[in-house]
Amino acid sequence: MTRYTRVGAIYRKELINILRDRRTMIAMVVIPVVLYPMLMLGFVRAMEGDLLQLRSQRFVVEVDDEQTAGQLRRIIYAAQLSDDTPAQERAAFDVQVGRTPPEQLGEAVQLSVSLGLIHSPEPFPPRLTVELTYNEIDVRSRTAMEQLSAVLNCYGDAMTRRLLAELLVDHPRLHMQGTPDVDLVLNPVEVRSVSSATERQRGGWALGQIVPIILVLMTITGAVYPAIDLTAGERERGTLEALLATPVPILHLVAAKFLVVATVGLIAAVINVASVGATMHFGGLTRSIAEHLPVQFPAGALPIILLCMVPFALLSSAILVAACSFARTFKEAQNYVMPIIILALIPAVAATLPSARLGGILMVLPVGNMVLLTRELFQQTYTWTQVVVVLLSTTLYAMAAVAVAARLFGQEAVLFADAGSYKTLLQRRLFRPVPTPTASQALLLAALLFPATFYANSLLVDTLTEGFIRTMTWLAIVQFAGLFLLLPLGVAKYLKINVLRTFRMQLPPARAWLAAILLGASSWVIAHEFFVLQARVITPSEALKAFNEQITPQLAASPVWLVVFLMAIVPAVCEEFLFRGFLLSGVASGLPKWSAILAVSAIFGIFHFLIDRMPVTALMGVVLGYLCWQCRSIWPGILAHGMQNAFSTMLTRFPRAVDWLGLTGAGDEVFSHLPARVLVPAVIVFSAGLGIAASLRSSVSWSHMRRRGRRHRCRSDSG
Amino acid sequence: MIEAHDLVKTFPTPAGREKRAVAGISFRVAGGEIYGLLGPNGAGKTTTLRILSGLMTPTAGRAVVNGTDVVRDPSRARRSIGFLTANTGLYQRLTPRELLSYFGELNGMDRPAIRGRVGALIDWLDMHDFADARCGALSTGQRQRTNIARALVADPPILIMDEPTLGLDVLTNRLILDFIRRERELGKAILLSTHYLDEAEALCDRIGLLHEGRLVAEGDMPTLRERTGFDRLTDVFLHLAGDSPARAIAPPPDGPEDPAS
Repeated sequence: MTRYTRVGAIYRKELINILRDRRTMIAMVVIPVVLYPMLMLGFVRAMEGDLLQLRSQRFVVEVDDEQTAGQLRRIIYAAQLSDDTPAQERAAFDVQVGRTPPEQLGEAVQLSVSLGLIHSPEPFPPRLTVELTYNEIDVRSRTAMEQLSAVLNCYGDAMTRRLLAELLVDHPRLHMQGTPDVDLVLNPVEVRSVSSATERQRGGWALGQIVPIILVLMTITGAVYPAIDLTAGERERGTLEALLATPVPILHLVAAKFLVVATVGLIAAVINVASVGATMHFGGLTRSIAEHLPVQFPAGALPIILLCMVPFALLSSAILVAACSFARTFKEAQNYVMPIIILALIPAVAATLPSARLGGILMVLPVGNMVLLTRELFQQTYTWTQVVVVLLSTTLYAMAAVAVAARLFGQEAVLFADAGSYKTLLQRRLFRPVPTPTASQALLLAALLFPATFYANSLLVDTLTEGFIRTMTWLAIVQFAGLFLLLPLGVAKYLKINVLRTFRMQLPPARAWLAAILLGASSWVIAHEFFVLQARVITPSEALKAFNEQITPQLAASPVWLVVFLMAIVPAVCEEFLFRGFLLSGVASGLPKWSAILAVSAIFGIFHFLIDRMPVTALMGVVLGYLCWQCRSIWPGILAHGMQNAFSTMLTRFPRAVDWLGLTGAGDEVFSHLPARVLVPAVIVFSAGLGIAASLRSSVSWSHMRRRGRRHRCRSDSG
Repeated sequence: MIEAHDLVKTFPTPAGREKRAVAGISFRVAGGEIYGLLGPNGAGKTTTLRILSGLMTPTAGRAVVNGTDVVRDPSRARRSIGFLTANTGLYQRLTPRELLSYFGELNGMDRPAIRGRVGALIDWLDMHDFADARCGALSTGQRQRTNIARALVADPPILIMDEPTLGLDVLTNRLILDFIRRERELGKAILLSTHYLDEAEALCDRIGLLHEGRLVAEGDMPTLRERTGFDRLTDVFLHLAGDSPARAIAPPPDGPEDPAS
């Protein structure tokens, strides 16, 4: 039996177990399908009804004396004559004489009014002053004030028009027939606004305000119950130990459990969205939100939305499972889940602010980016860069969360209530020295570095116009030296990880240097050709063109040694330490050779934020990862990486080289093929480099080493 | 079939001291033999059984089951072990038949084999009355029978049982003891823990007495009697676990008490 059928067996059984539980069904189906519509419709109807009722109510207005009362009644009557509001929606005012103290306004008497007159020069009528005293914290009093103000404004308008009409009739320059048109004077500017949004976009806009946050929050809350049930619940029932005693590896167990939690979360989210959509559609709710816009579900965006929801569901379920893993009982788990939901609410709500846009740091903000992307998708205003960045960053976070949760789930202190406290997992004093980081530590570091790097990068690249060298220096200090080099070194030190071994700092055999030189001298040609081919299939993004246009003249204007140092040497050293050092060593402790190299290369690609660059960067990552693996040393990779960077940034500076490459005059040389006299030798040199790398060691000796390392780790974990 | 060599298990505590649950235990269980681990709560029985089943990694020492090192290849080792946990928890919303099939699948059996084996176990353990009821509605005895069937569903050559008769009525107790003897006749190596001394005396071929993480005495009943001069196992146990004689045989460890029971 293969592992997949085993994972499948666990998955099926857990799903049956969850779906047979009435509590899940209530949370997943009854609440969204029955309660939502009732709540939403009820609430909106109640609001509408309440407002209408308030507006059409009778209000009691007090004045000082009978004369003022009569005056006010006449004003109200006159105003309502010229008002075209339907009688049933119109407020009525009972004007009476009395002296209720202002602080008692509200229940019996809502307003107190005093009138006054200010003398005006001829031919203008005296000005009427009205003072309305109301109680701001009383809804009825406040509504009465608003309604009476409206009535008085209406009265004022009517007076303006009458006065203006009289003035216009008498005006010497106008010889008008009949009643003059006062609108000519009152509205000399007519404003009309025309919306350019399509019907579909307008419909999507209305949905985009509510549906994303429901989708995201329901994915999380829908996953809460199964997450608790499959971890703390299993422990509380006493079924966990029996499950662990089966010959199923713990990773498969955890994988199946995640899939169940994520599935339930997804189902819950889909049911919720369908229910909300139906409620809005059939309940006439859209009128209140969209102001008579037709609401359409953007069917074309749905597959992308669902695709993005998958890593998101995995991410949230992994975080929930990780948190619940610590809990011994159902109740305890519920306590752990609450802060997580609140933490998820903050970015989700922040992203629903109307001014929030899917760009900058929000692109990589967990939860928030999903809410925003879903909104963009509903409004049909998304770009593929947004989709890719959100999808990849969420996947990266999900991978890290799954790895961490799997790691936690496998800890004895977490599995067995009596096997020591899980607090011991967090105390450095109790850490045992280990040769390399674990896969979960590596992925967690990558997940934390990603938004930090993204933020630093976008912040610094924005200042590019102010000074190329300055920006590059800051980038070298903050992103490369700080985040890529010192941070992983510090983390390794803190976790008592063997630095020499993790970063593969031992010297390689002499042949490795030759392989590195050959690869470094030729890989830029391969990368270039790959890029040209890619550009033929996928149109290069505007962002890339803008970037190239900005960079190329700057490169040409800066001193050679500085460019080589900042753009070739520094990135080569720091990126190799992070990716081929910490990350590759860590991921390789949980995955076989090629899976580890490919996974780290994918992460390497994601970290180069320009979407066009990601595939080619990932490809170069594979070459560098393979070289590093074969040499068992980081240094040849640094050499090859540095050479490739230097070649690709510097070649265009030298006219003779440009001439030889056949790129002269092309203008956008980034997108044209190299001549065969360059290509053929490059492919030969590249192949020779790979061949030497392949000869550096047999895979047998390595897997032997890896097993030994893993065993070593097992022992130290148990402590 | 089962070999424990100098097993040690310590747990770190937040306070910094280490708890020593198992302090160097060695013993062997052969095929066709029932070996009983006896000891009071906290003597290290459960921890020892968990190490041998590959659920916990020993801090030091080696555990070999059916020729496989449980630390080096826990998945392979578990394939030859049926482990009955002390906890009689079951999935409330599955029926015993579904539960047994599920564990059959987890053990890599194919469907026809599962059907045959589950049917046979239901016969042997007299589970017909409740095989298709949800586990949530079962009595303690029914739950324990289901659990034993679960441990045996893949017909493993080795059985490790943590307190198999805890809290059972006389009838179920006898059914289960007979069943364990039957498995011994099939040549299986059976390791069980208990603190019912009479039961151990009646059932086990050999007995290991655990006290504070150490094996203070080991052997069949005649050997133990001869060594201590007592007839009944209770007396033997009280004697060995008591103050001076126990320490004379094996000094207890200086570590604090055992967290696992």
